[in-house]
Amino acid sequence: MNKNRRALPRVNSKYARYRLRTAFSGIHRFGVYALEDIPAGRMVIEYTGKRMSWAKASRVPFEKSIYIANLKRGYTVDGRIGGSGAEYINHSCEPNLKAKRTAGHLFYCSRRKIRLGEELTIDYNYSIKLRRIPCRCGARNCRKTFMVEFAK
Amino acid sequence: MKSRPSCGPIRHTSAPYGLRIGRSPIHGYGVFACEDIPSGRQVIEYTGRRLSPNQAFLLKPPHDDYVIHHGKGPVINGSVGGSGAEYINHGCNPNLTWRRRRGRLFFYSVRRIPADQELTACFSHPTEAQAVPCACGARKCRKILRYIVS
Repeated sequence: MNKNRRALPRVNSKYARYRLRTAFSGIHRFGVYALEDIPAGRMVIEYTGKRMSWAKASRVPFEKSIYIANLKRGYTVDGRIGGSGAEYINHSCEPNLKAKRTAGHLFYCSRRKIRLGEELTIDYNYSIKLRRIPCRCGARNCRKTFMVEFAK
Repeated sequence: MKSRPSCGPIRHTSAPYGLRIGRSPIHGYGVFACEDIPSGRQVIEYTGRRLSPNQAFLLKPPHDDYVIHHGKGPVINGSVGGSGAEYINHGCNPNLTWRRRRGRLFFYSVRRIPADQELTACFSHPTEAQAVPCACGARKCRKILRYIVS
């Protein structure tokens, strides 16, 4: 096998309740697909990884923070380290999975019946409301924006 | 949240030059020089309650208005025991710069500041937002997956 080509990531079957596999996706790079029918309202896979506090996760550089998911009570889980394969599930605005957070664990459950060969998707729930505060400093090279932050 | 400051001179041991708080054309209140300040001098120290990163995380707006994160080390909350430096406004062409010495935060002048000019410092807040498009293809797709703020 070509050494430079990275192997396709695998789903760890220990954390998956149904048969799943990863493959190339039309949405973005890799995706996770169901290899059998999944009824509605079942736990499908657990999102595993390194657990760390919210304050610690905020210090992770941006390029390394894409697999960080929120748990309850100010904790996060980083799927980059010891991930079960759930971190490869893509975003969709009409997802077929939803996140369920129980004490220290993050599970993905099916929202509706998922058919064989369908791609698993979840709503990442990123905040897309922005607040821009204008700058009025009056300098010649003024950037016009003082601060951009996510609105609550 | 902090109450309204009283306009008048700043009396603080870390302010060797005459400074005063007054109404600012930039925003709310500002700090003005009462006398000429040469370039490269210590102007004022940013004082306040020291917080750990976790404590600063738990502060919700508007209580974090005067919290300053600067490099490593403790975070300073200027709304408790502030020297007056917390009223310094942002300027894109600032006449002050930061310097951290032994866990304390000082403002230095980067050029000569004439009397009655407002002191400004650069607060490195994110000023740009880049949208990541969504390719999910759903009927009600929001078209934007997320913003990357930088």
